[in-house]
Amino acid sequence: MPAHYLSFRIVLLFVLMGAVASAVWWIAQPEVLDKIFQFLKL
Amino acid sequence: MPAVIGAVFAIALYGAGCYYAFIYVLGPAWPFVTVGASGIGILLVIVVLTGVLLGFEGSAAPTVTPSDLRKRLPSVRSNFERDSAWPSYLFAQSRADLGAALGRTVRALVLMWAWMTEFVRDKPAVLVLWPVLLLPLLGAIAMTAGATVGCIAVYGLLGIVLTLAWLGWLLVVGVLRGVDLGIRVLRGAKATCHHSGCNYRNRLPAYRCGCGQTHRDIRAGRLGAFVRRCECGALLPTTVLQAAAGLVAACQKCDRPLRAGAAVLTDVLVPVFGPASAGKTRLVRAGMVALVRQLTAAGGSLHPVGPESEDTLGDATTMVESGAQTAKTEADRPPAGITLLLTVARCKALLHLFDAAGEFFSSREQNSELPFLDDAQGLVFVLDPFSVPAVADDLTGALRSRLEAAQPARMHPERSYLVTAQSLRDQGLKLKSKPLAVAVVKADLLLGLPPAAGLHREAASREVEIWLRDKGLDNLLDGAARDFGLVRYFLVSSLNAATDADGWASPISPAQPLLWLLGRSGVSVAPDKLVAAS
Repeated sequence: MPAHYLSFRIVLLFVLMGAVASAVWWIAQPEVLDKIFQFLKL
Repeated sequence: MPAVIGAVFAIALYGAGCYYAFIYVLGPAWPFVTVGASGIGILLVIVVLTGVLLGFEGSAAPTVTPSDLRKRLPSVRSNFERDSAWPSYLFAQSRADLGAALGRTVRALVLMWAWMTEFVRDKPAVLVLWPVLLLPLLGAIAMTAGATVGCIAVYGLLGIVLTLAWLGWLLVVGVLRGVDLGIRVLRGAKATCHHSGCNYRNRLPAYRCGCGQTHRDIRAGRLGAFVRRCECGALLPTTVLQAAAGLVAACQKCDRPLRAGAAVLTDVLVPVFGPASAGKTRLVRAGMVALVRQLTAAGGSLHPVGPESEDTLGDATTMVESGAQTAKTEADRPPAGITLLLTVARCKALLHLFDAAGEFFSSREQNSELPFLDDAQGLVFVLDPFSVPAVADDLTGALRSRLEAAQPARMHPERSYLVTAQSLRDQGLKLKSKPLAVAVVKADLLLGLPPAAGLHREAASREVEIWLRDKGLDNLLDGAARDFGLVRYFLVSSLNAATDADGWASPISPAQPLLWLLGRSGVSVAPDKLVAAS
């Protein structure tokens, strides 16, 4: 596999990981967690 | 009766079971199942995509190789197929990767649904527990929904990233192509095939990789913006200016190698035409030697490019210095170009001189075998004054020997000119945009003879023109003025280089028509210009 394929894939992975990290961070916000707990009736 | 009571009891018990399952299992569990399964759906999308991007065993997308290009990329508007090189990730592999990841995610969901359906079909008895079965059904629905949302979010995000990268690529490619072409157009650079019978000329030559693979269109594009990777793995530049520095250029038509500097240096193509025995070869060869001296005097240089040109210049120098006769040019095939690398001040140019045998200018059919006439910056028409009847008729008696010594061209110059000009017009060439240098050769034999009254060594273009009109060549001169944008007349002696002790070309030097055409092409070798440039 040529190096430029790998470079682009790494960039896409970084974007993906960044998006996941952002989503986790957003979910970890107290107000979001409260809503989830309310939904789970906890 | 007891059976009926038993049945009623069983139904009531089943109903109660269902009720309690709803209340104590389904009720509290469904939010957890919904949230958990949605999360698993989203996670499935991320894990599958990560696996594909990392190229994990069994999950990697098929690699798009140069051999897949013709199926994966749109065809090019060219006579050739797309070059065999690794494509940019944006145009082939990205789609393969994202497509494979998406396909695997969908397949996983389909498999899950298929397994559930099969399970119920194989064991229909489990439907009795339908309130409990609602949980996995809810989980599957939530997982599918989660995966769908995940796909939309993740692939949408990556789509935006790839679109931005594509826009950046478009900008880079546009700038690179524009700068590359702009510099070369300003320089007047073209790739001229010097090989006999081809002479194809364009701005974009093919380039050969070290592995032997020919790249027909090296420019930035889907195969790479800043560099492209050849099928063999070698990195190649994506501008002609860079490619010319390290790769061998090849003709797009005949595939043979071009001269070094093709398509990046100012390219001046000057064909010399005229009837057989008019003195074309002598003019070209003595003109080359005179140009070498003129450029050396000017602090520049003129070097032959390629072994054939080296041999020709070597022969020309020997011929001029020894005063030997010029051999008849072979008429069995079109000529190969003589290429000279001209360096003056800060300008470098390739000068291609084409000297075809006079027989090629005797008919339109033979003219068509000379493709170099089509795209020349200017032309030199060699006019043998001894082939003009008004001159030849005056050389009688004792002067007859001078006429025989001149070995005059057998064809009337007017006919030779008209045949060639008509042929060029028929090909739709815009002659009006080209200059024509009419070289009245054999001045060393002509000057001093009675028919040359009115001519002298420093005769200006107007004086030569008036003399030619006086000799009855009005048709030729009027035709030339009508056909070409600019016509200039030179009185030339090709017996030797006709340069002074410092190497500057004299007014009757065979270099003069070439110097004028070079100047018209933006390559000025005139002494005053050189002083200004330096």
